[in-house]
Amino acid sequence: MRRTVVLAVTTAATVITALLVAPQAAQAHGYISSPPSRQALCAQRAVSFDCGQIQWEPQSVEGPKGLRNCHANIGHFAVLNDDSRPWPATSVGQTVNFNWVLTARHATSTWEYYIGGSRIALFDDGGRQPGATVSHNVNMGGRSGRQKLLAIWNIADTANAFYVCVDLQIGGGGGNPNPTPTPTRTTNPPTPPPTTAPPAGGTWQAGTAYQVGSQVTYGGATYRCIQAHTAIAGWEPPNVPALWQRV
Amino acid sequence: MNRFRRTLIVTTLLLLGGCAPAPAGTGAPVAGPAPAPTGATPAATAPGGAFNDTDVMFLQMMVTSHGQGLALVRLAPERAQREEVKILAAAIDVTQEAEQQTMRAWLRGWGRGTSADPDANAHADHGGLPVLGPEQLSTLSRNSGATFETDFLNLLIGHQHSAVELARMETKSGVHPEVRDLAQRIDLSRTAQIDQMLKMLRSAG
Repeated sequence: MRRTVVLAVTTAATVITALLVAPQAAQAHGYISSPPSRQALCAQRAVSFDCGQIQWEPQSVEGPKGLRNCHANIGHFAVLNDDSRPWPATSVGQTVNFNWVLTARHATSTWEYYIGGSRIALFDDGGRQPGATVSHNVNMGGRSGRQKLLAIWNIADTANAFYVCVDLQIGGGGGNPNPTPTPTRTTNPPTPPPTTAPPAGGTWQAGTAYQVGSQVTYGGATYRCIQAHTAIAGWEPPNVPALWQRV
Repeated sequence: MNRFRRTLIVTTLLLLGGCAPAPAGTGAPVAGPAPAPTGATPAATAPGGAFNDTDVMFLQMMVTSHGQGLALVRLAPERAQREEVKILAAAIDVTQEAEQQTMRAWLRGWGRGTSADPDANAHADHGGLPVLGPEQLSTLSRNSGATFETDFLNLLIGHQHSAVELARMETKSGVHPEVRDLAQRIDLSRTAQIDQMLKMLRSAG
């Protein structure tokens, strides 16, 4: 009897703890993956500067409906709205297919596309769930040169929307007339993930493409690759016996 | 305030009845011998040590999520065009299959069910299960070539973002060392995969 009470209290405490910590960063989210949005570029570290927190959660630029900026007024995502940064622009023609990554198919009111304060496209989903994948074909309306496009995903059943900016070079092909240089891509991430595993010494290296039969050392042991892959953090040989066999 | 309260209610319901089918006393940490930090291959049996509801919920949701992810990546060998896409899909296939076996063994060892409610909306407030239902997979499997690759990569990126969100829930609120380690590796590896896939989308033009 007394034990039951203790258990109940502990259960309640666990539930309360979970309530306080769990729901924080977790809901339906989304962004444009191609042509790469600013947050997509940050997530693949394809910019010459440090994007900060957004590179770990490109899907999280959520704010109240009706905003007209790239960062949804979120302070620690402000870099997204900083046009003085050398954001690479993607060369496109007069019609552009925008592809979205969604982590959940939230009931949607509309998808809006703006350039320079003018709405150039509107897709009305009427509160329905989006399909398996979402892509929109948008006409650039005769615009040319470098343009910053703002796309907005308006969620139907909350007061919120997701904000995405995409830098475009319209009608390109030939040179790049804009004064902002496209930065050379850094091949290595400028900053390691905050939670990166400690380097354990050895020849294994993230970013390397290993073929079946390749051998590496890691943490003092030798491993043979049994499944072709490109090495990444979290796939260190001792952690993924499906990829590496200890020799 | 309103939204917060709604979140509380939803989460409470989920914790009480949703993710972790909870017999009395589930919430109480279970005492046990401290796990040996082997650092070796994931154990095939349930690790010792105390665990909480978050550990159980994370494993259950991840097992279910992995099932959907595996169904997705197994479409790639026949339908993807680029070798790099096929190689990544194949590596995800074998690693997630192994993770799934480990996670199931842990849950069984703890006497818990080995899956979560696959309804995405039931879990929206703590990371959500991904968007991949049978309907989405069958839509995708009707495509081939460049269209397939673009849709496939966007779906898989979204799926792995959800896995990262789940993993961060576990590293924030879970207590079991080995489960937390797994979550940490899932966070790192999926983040790196997302990075690779965004680059693949970009190079596809």
